[in-house]
Amino acid sequence: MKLSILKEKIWMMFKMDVEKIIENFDDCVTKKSKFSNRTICKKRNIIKQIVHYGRKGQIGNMTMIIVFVFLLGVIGTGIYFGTWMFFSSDYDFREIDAKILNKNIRLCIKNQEINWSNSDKEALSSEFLKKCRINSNVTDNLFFIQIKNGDVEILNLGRGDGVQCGLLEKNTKYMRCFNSTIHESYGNEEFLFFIQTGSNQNYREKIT
Amino acid sequence: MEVIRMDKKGTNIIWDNAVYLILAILFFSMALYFLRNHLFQASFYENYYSKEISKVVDLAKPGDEIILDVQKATEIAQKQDLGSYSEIFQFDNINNEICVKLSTGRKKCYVYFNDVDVMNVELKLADPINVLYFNVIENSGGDITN
Repeated sequence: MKLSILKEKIWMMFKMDVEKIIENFDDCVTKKSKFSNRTICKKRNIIKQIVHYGRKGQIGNMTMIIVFVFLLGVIGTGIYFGTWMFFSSDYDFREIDAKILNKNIRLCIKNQEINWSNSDKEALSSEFLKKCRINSNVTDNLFFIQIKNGDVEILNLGRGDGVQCGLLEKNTKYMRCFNSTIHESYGNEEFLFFIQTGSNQNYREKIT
Repeated sequence: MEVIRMDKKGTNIIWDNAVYLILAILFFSMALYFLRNHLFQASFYENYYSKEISKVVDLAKPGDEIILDVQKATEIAQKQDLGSYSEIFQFDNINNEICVKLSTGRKKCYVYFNDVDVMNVELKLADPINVLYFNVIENSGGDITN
């Protein structure tokens, strides 16, 4: 019983509100002046305005600006990504570094007499670095040098190993390498040097 | 009456076109400003020069005298209001490092493995273009400053 009364009350309130809105919408205001009494009806005015614009063909006025702004947006995005693709790529120098190091070592092996038969690895490394003019501090951290005679490893300097060179396709962060082979003979001894060099250095930014 | 009506229509067309034109000018000036900033990118050329100079030093032998065209670097430094040109190229014989500074507040450094020292670094302006001179000598153990 109570529920039906409540429902009726709500319906009455709603009906009143709707009637009030319609009343206001159709409400006409009379403006009095010295010369005439003008009555302005809101609803009619709205319809009049629409008819007025429709006749001049101005309803669609400046609608195409949306398309224009969209086109500008597309061009702008193209310029941004084009610039980003061109300039964001780093000037990768690791492979060239590895090639230069390899070339320097090849020339050094040809022109300098190094005691490759020395079993003391440290003495051999020191002699090699000195005669080939390679800075040990630099190579220890950023470069990799491996020299083999056939399958026998003679020298292994720097950080990294040959495995990283083979994994370059998997991860571009790994060092870039360069391999070469050189044939040399010292007296009766024949050497087939396999030289593998790698570089993993990038620029360092310093705040000044 | 007809003229007045046409004039009214004409005003509308001019106004519409003016809006499009203003928008286009605003857009393209912004795009040009963005591109200009990237084209004269100091960071890219700092990277480029440091690596190229390190390559030259790596391939050099003691006794070599090197002359490099650095016109572009000086142009960028001027645009970036760097002030002193002597700061652009800095060699560090202790760490075997070349640093290039083309903008204020930062520089990019690259290491060369060739165990040599770089001496008599001099930036010669208008010779007939701007060039960088330096000598490569035997390593003295980091005692010599350029």
